[in-house]
Amino acid sequence: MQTGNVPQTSGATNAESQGVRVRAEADAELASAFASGHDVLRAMYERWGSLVYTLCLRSTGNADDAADLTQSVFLSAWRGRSGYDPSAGALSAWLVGITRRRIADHWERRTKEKNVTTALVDAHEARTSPGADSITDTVLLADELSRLGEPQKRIMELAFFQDLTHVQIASVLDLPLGTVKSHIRRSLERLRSRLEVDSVIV
Amino acid sequence: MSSCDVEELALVAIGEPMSPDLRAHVSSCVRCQTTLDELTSVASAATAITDADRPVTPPAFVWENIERAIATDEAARNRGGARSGWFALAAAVGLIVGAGGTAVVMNQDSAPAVTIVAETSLDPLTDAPSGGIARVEQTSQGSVLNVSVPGLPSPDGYYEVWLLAADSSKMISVGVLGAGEQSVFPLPAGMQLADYPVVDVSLEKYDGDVTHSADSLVRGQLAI
Ligand SMILES: [Zn+2]
Repeated sequence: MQTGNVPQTSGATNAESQGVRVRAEADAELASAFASGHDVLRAMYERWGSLVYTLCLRSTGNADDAADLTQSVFLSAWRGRSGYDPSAGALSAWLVGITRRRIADHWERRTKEKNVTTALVDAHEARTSPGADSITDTVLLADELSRLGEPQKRIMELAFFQDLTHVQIASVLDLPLGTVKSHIRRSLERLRSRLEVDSVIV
Repeated sequence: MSSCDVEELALVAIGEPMSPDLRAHVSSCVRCQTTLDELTSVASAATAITDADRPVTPPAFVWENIERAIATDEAARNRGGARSGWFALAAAVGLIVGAGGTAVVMNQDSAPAVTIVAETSLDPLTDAPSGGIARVEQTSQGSVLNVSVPGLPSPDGYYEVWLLAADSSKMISVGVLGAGEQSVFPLPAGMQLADYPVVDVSLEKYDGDVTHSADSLVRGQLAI
């Protein structure tokens, strides 16, 4: 085991890290205001409405269902706000947890509505083909990716979806190699912590 | 290379080749192995992002509906003056069952043949309870509302069943949900159910307040 220097996570003085920190603080503020009962639902909706809606849309494949589910998630959050314990986890994780239960309820309901044979096939598909966990993760990652600043977003899009190396990315975007490398590392770390915070197992 | 270099690991995570030096280091450094595993799994999950995963802004009516429902909650909580209004309305339709609850709890075995007129699942509004089902049935004795919400915890108070207008602008107390899994409430023959299609079960306190507590547990809309 090396005890080598680890300069990469310390000294977060650049604008990007500050942005992340400010956002994390804003999220925490929102969480404590919510827990103490203030009407911050609108702010929550602005922050996480598209995430919840996209999770529902992705899981049901139906805009009407996604709209219904999104309403029900935020109403549940509001009506059940006394049940939120900030010490137990992030508000976003709590909201994602509610979303996943609503989606599961939705499929259960749909299953009941259909005849047994179709229902069994559907239930099987719901469990196997687009796994709920991996849907949640890819939607969470897509959401966090969309929140990256530039040029980080471009860099990561080129790395993930165009399969470019950091040398190619540096050349395409006309950026120094070192800059590209450090953006890739920090962005990956940021995506990783987003999953750690919000990818709850239900 | 002998020290930990997360930037190099990040490049490997996005699919770039690993130098022999880095490989040698990682093979003997638990911290770098862990970091590499984590970053690689994040990167491969991110690579799986499709257009369908990209954030979509919900249509404006979603928030409008949320706002309306909350306003209704608040109104139900605050509108002391409307207490007599609802009470009178409910009494006029002949639906108030009273605090004692005269819901007829049917025995499954002796239940007469029924025709289901309308049915809805009752979806949980908060996290605690599971959902249920509500049915309007035509029996030889007339129309009844059959409400079943299994698995409700023992209340600190009691559970009350309501019929609401679709926009929650008016509501009727149908009665107190019995301790069993199923309660059946008679509906008056002249009642326009289409005006009150939403079935709602609330948790009520023994506070002498006959209005809706705004603490709804499950809700569903009958297709009428
Ligand atoms: Zn190392």
